[in-house]
Amino acid sequence: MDAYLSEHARDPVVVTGAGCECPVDGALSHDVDPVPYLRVRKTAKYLSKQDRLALGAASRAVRAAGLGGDELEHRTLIAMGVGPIPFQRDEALAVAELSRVEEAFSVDRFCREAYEAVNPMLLFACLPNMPAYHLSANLGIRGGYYLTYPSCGETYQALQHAVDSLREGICSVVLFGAVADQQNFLVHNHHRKVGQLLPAPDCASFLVLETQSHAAARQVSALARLERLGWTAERAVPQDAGGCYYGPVELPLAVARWLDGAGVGGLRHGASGSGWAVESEWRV
Amino acid sequence: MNRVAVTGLGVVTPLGNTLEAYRQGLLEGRSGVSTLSLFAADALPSRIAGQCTLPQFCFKDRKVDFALQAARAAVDHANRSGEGLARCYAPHERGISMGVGLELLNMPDLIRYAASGGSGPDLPGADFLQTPGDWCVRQMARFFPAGQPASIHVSACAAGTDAIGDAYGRIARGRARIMLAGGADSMLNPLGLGGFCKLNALSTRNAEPARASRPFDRSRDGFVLGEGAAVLVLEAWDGAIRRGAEIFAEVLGYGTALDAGSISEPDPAGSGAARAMQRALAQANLRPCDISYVNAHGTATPKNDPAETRAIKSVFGDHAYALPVSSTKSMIGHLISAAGAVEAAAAILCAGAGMVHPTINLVHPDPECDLDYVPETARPAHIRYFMSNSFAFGGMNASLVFRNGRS
Repeated sequence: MDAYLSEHARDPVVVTGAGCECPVDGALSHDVDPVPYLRVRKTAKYLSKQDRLALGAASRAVRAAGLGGDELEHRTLIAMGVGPIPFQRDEALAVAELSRVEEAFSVDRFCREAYEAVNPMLLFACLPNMPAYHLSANLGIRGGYYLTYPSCGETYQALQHAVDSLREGICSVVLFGAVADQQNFLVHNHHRKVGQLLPAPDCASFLVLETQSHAAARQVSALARLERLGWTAERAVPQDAGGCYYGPVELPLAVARWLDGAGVGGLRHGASGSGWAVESEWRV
Repeated sequence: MNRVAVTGLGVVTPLGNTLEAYRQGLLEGRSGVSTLSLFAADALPSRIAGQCTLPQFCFKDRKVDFALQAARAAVDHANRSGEGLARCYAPHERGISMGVGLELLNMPDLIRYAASGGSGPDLPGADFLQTPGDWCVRQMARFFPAGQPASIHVSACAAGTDAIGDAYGRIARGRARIMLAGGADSMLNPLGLGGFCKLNALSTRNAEPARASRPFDRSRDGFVLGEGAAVLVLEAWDGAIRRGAEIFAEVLGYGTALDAGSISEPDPAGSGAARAMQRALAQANLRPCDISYVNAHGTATPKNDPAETRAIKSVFGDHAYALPVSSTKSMIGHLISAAGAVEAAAAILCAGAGMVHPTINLVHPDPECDLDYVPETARPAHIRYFMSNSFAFGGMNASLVFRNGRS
């Protein structure tokens, strides 16, 4: 079995919108004011940084694709990756402070004091499925979903699922992307532990994918075409980390940046792990 | 699309860690819920849980041991002829798809960090996030090496169902030939139990643990937290036939839908749940009247059970009233990211035995929940096609449709 699957087809999958949220000028930390993107302004306090980053990037992509209202509702699928869970520093430290007796964790004190001090709605503000929830709620998306974690290889599986869903007519549009709140102290610690030495910025990037015929019916231009997508257990493919570690966001960010740079020629992007490698090729 | 067979199952559940013990417990209507013994939760409102036991724990995070135990058992179950599953398929034909619960936060290290002022980006020597899901899957890959990226599903209470659905899709579309698929979770730690208590999501019927999980009952007061894992071996039909594997079920369809509703509550009309069921039926190319059993999400929260009932009625119409619907959570509690996998395994095992397991503790029917929930006692049933539902916080809804391998 040739594991490389050509995406040449009569009706190829195309990109019609892209949006990203990343720090500029060499900074690593980045955040987004979510208010312009919220249907209900007062819900802003329930969005964590990863939720805000995802909502900002996805909203830009949707806007760039000229989508809105009913077009997104039932026929749009969200396929996305998230990075390691960024429990929020202030809440985590408050819980730790109220759970200790001298330098040790006390279950009893946790149950009596820390438990009482926590705002239950803030418990949701770091969960890996919350970015998809906030995209769904604020962009009015009621189609299917595919949520995975925490690296680039898993995001490739989300892309594969997106392509299959478009090809089979399960959906008409896919909001494909990823988000990673990486300047979180817990995530920073995790990266160091696993030997990740590259700087890891906060980032989110989303692409609007649809079939070429669907884009044509909407009278929007395709920015790029997914030319090839596949995996192999044997062959190595080039890495494109660009000097930073973007985790699950690497692929959608690479495509968004390539398009932002006028999308000249083609983009070949790959990733590899233990016993596998994945690769995609995109062309204008 | 290729046909997809279930050729092996492995479980770790509050009712036991073998398929026979699990099936027997379910069909006897036995509760696996007891007073929590893992830590002193005396000051928390809920102090009961569906706890699992293993002879030995090798990892700090219980769900990793559960995942490995269930995966090894599933591989052994699928490999009773002994030829070795890994030898039957090339590396790129093998994959792993798991729903894995939240990373375990190391409280002693976090306290050390807080005591140091907590101002730096990191604490040398600390180990805050002990068990990211990819690490758990990497442990599984040590005895089942896969030549493609894993799928690690993080859709909370729907993750186990999504993991199976994803594996089904990969095999059906020819992208894999054999997959380990399932879910593993344990939130039986102070932060996990405390978090759910804080949301008022848990039953506080501490004095009678076995009667605390009461799906569809008028007196239900929330779910009981459970832990465990289930792993299914999903295999391309022709490959399973070629190697003479026993086929326990066939996966026919999978559907997902977002609610776009509330963070913590289901859509009261169950519209997202209904769309997930409809999409799974459509993929299975079945009509609603073809389904003869539904394994419900059935959490026993005041809001889930009526919403799921409305969703079932909207999908199945009049057939809903003739359709047995039962909740595995009545016996083992809510296993969160493992729930969908453990409940799919329950449905497969019971259907294979020609039975429907009961919803226990359903004594006072809720007028808003007026379907046949198979109260208290298991019942013989000829089941050809059946469905398993999982619905998550954040409005993620997922359904699977199976064909009984013994039908």
